[in-house]
Amino acid sequence: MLASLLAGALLSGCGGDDGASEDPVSRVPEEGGLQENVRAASSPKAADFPAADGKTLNQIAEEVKGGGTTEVGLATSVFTVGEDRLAFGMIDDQGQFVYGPTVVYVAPTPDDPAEGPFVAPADVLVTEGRYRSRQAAEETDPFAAVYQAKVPFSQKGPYAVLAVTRSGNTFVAAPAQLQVNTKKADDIPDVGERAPDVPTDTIESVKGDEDLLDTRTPPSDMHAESFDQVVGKKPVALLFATPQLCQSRVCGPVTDVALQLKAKYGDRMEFIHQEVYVDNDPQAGLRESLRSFQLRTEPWLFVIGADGMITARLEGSFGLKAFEDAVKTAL
Amino acid sequence: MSRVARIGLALTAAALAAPASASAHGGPIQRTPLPLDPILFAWGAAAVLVISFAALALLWPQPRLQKASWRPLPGLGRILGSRVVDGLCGLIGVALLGILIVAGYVGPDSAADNLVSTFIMITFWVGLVVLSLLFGDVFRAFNPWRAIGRAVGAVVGRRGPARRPYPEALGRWPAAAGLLFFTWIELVGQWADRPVTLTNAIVGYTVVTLIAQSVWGVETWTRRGEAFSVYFNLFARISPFATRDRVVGVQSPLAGLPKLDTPPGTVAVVMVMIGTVTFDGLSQGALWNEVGPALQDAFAWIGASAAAAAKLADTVGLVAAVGFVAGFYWLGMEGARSVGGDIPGDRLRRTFVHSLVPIAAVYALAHYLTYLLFEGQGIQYLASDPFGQGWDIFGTASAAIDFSLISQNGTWYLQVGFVVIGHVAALILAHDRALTTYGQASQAVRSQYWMLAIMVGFTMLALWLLRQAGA
Repeated sequence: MLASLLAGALLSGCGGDDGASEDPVSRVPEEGGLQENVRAASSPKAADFPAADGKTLNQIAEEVKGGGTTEVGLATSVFTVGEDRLAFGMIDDQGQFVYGPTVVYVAPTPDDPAEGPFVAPADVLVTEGRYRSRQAAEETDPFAAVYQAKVPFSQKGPYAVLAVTRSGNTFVAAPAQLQVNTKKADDIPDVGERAPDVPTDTIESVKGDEDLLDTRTPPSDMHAESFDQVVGKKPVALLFATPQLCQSRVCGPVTDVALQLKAKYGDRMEFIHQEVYVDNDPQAGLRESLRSFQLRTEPWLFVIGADGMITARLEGSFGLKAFEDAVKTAL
Repeated sequence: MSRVARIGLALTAAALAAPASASAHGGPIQRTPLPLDPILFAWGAAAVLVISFAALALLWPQPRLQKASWRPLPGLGRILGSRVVDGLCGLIGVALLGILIVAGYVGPDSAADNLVSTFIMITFWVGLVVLSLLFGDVFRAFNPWRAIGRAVGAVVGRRGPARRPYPEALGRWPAAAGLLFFTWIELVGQWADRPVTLTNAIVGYTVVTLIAQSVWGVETWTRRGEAFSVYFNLFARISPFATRDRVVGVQSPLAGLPKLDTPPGTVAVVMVMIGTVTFDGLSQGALWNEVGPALQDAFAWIGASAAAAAKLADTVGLVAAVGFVAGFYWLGMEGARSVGGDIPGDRLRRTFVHSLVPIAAVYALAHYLTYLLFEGQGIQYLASDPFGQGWDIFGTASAAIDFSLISQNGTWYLQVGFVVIGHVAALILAHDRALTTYGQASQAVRSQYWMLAIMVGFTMLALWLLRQAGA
């Protein structure tokens, strides 16, 4: 067997299997039909949901007769006029995440004609076992997947959202509200803009204090380079996240997701993880690099091309597919 | 309830999964509090040592460990010690070395994904300590360099180059230097984060070892100069298993240590073993977080880059920790000299150095316990796909680390238990040796006041380091 290992390595050379990847849904626990539900949630079809056809949001809500007290938990907060990524979770009255084929409808108010349905495929957050942090492993109710839809917002101002999940022949629906701003009002660096040339923490900058470098357990190895030393020289995936101090249920997995993708793309892109708070103390404020990016929430991912220009940005919760799609924009 | 009203209500629930506001209130990271104040643990451990010391003085009037207690292991002893088994184990060791080298160069350029980093730094460096303590000199059997050297020697035979006598003054100094360099790689150079660099080091060490073997002989270099052979052999002497004349046998635990020969450099090896772990613990605590940056600033002030300044500061810390441990031992032995016996200081330090091996063992065990138990599990999936080719040889490629294996409190109790047991073992060894070194039992006991002080000091240091490291 040992000889075959050596022979296999020699035969396979240095290439490796870069393209083939395991179905991420297969990593979702099967208990209670969760995996089956997430699989169904991964490929919703708009045709399975009522067409808007000039109906108001309230009329659609009435049509789907959403029962119970399901709620939408928004995972993104920055929206500008144009197409935006709307990420969210559906949460039932027991606080459990609900998974199934899902779409969203939007309108300036619940009584305005709705736009949609916009499909919101579930993006898996469960990484391969080896990339699972202690924080993620010990999560008793893990956020298995996040819904994300591409939604066009035609005007600034408040928007009402209706998320609808299909469960067999019935629907569950839940409303939410969000604020859309103009592009000009969004001061966070966006796609097509040059990324701020800021240093990020390395073991040297924290003077050997590894606790300051990473709150993940075990710490990740995404602190080898400072962002300002590599930006403009090679593609970079810059992740602002704090696995231990995150106040929501979704920022631990993004660092794990980053590690998994680093294993696949790390030879072509620099992956950098930056903790959020000064001295890991939320009361001490944000680290300088976050202030330079005008960030007020976390986590955030910025993907920057070799020319130093931002090619993708993701806020809040993002799964393997969204992260990988973002990475590919710079390669 | 109207739909509009429901939309309004939903807004309050939105925060459940909303991105975390970066201005949220909270506190800095707090480590989970230990079940009892560590000071109480320290006093308790010191009390155990003092009681043990008194019990030894009263109940252990004659040396017991200096005489051989070895007897063959019935049935399996001859088989396990046979040339065939020795050869097979050596072959496995060589194959593993080959796999590691290939994995290091072919596998992913990420420490978490490359077999070589986890295998060398956890399975080999820490796991083999446990195996040595339990089963004896396992590494000697699997030592790939010894196997290659012996194979080459068998082929070349008398046609090979004439071997030179090993310089007595060199003693175990090469092993001490090798261990210090390896721990520098681990703690300062952080080469484990760069699989290719670590593999280069493995290849380099292999070349140096084979050259040294060709000059001074395989067995001589393995016994004296090869760092890992010396390191694991010292721990193996604690084990109840030992091999003699190609027969594996059993003996009293610790019985292998009094027979330790002490050529020059032996004390240095043990000081490096304890001192480097001391620095590892120290470097994770508040004290080093004050001293380290100040040193870095000093090096930066004289022109070093930030990266170089950090490495220089850590190098100073590593060497200083070894120096501190050596100084502490020297002080204790000078104290022991004061009770009489007219024994030169150097001889006294060599005479009692074997008693510090259990301390080195428990320092390593206690400090790296969680590392072995948690991160060490990574070997499951890495071994199943050693070259990062998407294989699943053992069906464990998708395994995950089980973080529920042991609780933090459980870990702490285990670590304290190791520390206390190790230091009591050290007291026993020192007491037993004192009875043979000093003609009079009363003088032997008086000399051991100083050894007790050393043991209590090392115990306190061990517990303080564990606390520093956030155990």
